[in-house]
Amino acid sequence: MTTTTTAPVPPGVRKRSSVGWADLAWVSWRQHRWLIGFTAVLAIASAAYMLALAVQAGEPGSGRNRVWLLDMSVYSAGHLMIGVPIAFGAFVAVFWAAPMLSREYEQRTHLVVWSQDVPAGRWLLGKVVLLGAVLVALAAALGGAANVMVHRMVDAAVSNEYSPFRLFRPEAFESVPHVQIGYVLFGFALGLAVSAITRRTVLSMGITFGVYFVVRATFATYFRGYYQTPVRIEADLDQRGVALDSVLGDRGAWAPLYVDGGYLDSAGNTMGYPRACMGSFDSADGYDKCLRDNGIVKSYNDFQPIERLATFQFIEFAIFTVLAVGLFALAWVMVRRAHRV
Amino acid sequence: MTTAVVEQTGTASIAVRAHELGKRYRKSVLGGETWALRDCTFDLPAGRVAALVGANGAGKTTLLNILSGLLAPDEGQLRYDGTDRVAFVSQDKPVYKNFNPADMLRLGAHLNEVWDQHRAQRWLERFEIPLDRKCGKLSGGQQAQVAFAMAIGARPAVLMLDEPLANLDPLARREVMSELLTEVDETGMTVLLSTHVVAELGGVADYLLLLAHGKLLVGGDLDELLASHVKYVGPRSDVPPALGDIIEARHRGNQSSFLIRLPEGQPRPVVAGQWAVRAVSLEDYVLAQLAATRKGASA
Repeated sequence: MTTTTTAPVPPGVRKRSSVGWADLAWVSWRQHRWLIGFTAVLAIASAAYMLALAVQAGEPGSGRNRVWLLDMSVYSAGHLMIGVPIAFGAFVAVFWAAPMLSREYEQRTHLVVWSQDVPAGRWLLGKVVLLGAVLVALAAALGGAANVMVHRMVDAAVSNEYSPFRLFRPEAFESVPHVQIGYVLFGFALGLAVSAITRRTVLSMGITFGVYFVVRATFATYFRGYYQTPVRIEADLDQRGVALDSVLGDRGAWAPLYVDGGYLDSAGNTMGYPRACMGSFDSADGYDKCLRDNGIVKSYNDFQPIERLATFQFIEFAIFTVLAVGLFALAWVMVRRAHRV
Repeated sequence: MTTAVVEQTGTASIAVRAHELGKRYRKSVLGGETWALRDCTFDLPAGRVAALVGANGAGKTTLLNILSGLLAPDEGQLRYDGTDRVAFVSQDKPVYKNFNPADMLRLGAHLNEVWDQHRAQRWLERFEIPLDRKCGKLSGGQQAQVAFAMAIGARPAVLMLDEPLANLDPLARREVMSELLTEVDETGMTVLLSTHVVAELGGVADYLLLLAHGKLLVGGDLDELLASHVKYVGPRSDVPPALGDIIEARHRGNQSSFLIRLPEGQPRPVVAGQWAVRAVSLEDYVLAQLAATRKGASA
């Protein structure tokens, strides 16, 4: 039989009903303040410099001027600085997230934090939310500054008939706030999940870098062109050059995303390039005749029009955010399971 | 401000109830499992200092990790009566190397619902731990004191210490034990500590849990356990001078000694002749039990 009584809290003892977000914020800040500070300075300085480049690039004809601090032209500096937001997600994955849990395991400090009143799952959730908020803000700042810089350079370049960026190419496509947020969340979640699984810092950093690079490159190279069904232009063989020019020619920054091209038979089926036509021909007609003799009647070009750019960027953001949610969940489950101590 | 306390009426209050706890580990990736702990059942009375002893690999750390909530048991039930506020200091006494002791106490304050800064700080001052030096630059013994202070500051109902005396010099061991007893007296908490240094437990522990090969061999009040055993020393003989279960028989030269568990309910027998009766110390008892299990005998 049990009875419940109440006892006074001894003097000097602080008692409360739960551990709050402010407490977890203190823990996250105290543990990672140097990394947070370094990353924030790096990101804010880079964003500020990109905005400075945007100002310099705003005047027509200024693209080849020398820039402040760096011995290079405005356009070259723009291409250099655009690498910062592109690399930001990888930096976060490898240097923020990958060591985060594995270092706790290696130094056995998980036994300290996970044996307090805050459950391990809540401790992780606190870190993810609070550090994630910082990273999202920095990614948005970088993406926003890069986007402003790219568009200022593109707009100024119109009058100069030279465009330093094409909006559908990776460096410009990825330099918008929401896509950057998707990447940084993915990198953060990937590093945490790998860290929770391997429990070894160096191994975790290596695997995280490899997986992050492969996933990003795979989406950029193989999947991005198919987020929506490409638009196809078919042309008779003697008109194929004109057709290609009509899609890609002289669009500058606003060129569509070229996806695929090839040949069709009379039924509209795609055809492989005939080996018999690999030799040299005296004239273009002879070459076309060879193609026709091998059943080819038309050429085709698949592309994504520039009008889809914003939609594609949103799809990219959504894909990487969903991947991030899955990986965060995996890390959370791994931490809660805590099978080996 | 008040806190809920659950008391048992009629019997001594129980802090921890473990029923058939079991934990198995995979031997390798290819499969095969081994039980690190099996059928572990005991009730730990509240307000006691319990010693958890056993040979290496007996399952002490596994049991402590389960009791502290860091490891989920594969079978059995665990219940904390009254409150489940448990503090645990692992064998490594881990601390954040780039925190100083004051930061570690702040960490404890932020991660616990109950925090006694005065008590935690008093512990550090008692052992002259500099508050402003990075933990990474403290000695192993000093780092252990920081880990203890953090656990004490959490004002747990049950404090679990895995090998608390490792890394400590002999004087510090005695002082830590003394301070722990003071904390138990002042706060009424229950302490469960695992150790290999059985000699240091005398006068400190009043309850014993003895593990062997993942199973609980003995569990009970230490005074009662020791009172139910006796040691006979006398001339060389293959049998003891009185009835009882032989826990340990040792023969050296022309002298024999027997550690005997007395028959239940029987008065302590009087032996005559050249035999002498000696009180059983905790160290005698534990070492005899461990030796018996190592030989494969059951106690």
